[in-house]
Amino acid sequence: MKTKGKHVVPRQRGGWAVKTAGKTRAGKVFESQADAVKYARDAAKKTHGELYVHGKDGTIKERRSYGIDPFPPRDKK
Amino acid sequence: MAFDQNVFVNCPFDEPFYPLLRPLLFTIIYLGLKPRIATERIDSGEARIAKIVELIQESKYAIHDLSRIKATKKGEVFRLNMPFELGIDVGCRLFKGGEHEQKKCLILVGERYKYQAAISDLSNSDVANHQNIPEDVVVEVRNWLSSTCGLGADGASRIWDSFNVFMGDNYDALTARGFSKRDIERLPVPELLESMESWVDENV
Repeated sequence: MKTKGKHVVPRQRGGWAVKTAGKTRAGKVFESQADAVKYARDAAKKTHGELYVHGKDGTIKERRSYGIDPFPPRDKK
Repeated sequence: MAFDQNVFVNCPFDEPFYPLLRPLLFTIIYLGLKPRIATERIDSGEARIAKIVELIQESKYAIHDLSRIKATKKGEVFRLNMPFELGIDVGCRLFKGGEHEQKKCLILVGERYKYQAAISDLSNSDVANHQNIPEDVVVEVRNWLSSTCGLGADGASRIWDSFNVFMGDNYDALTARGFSKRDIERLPVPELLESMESWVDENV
């Protein structure tokens, strides 16, 4: 179940951290959720990874995939 | 399961408590211990009190959450199950003898000093306040288990981040198996424990 996703995680003492799955180091912390999501989204796009935005209890509020679709839609002729 | 690895978890089992229960269980598992909770197995034929007594006898450690014993509206009865089970745990330590004399427990509350007024016998006990905040549950449980068991555990922020990554991975795994967002938020405790244990085995 390992992923290289970017997780936007709330910090109780203030701010939102961007955590990369699989890395032990703490991620970058932003004051606003919007800034954290923008940073995480850009990073996920660069690595063709996943973006997860978490609520205060850790549940998933938003999830997007920027991976390469192995089955892209085809034009019908 | 080894007595000195087991942590009895005494808390409400209703849905509003799930936001605190999930990080509580995850922190115990992350630290290499085994949460023991009455809902770990579902058997309608099993007497609940017998199951609770068995779990208490098998656990060296216990975490008792008293944050939800107060009635929330007029006419509602206050909830006595949690203090009742705390009493059984303390009684087991005092009267059963043998390894049970080593039993240790942490009492969690949501508001400092509030419940010591209702249960004044607790005034000399270790009481930690999580303020009903999921991240603070990780902090309080991590700090208590690390010092009580001499674990030298990772920091609470790392455990909280790992919990969030687990929630993301578990969301993906369950969505792929046809679970809705609502199903995931109400995932039964035995399945939640199994997912957490397997994730921690692979990732920590």
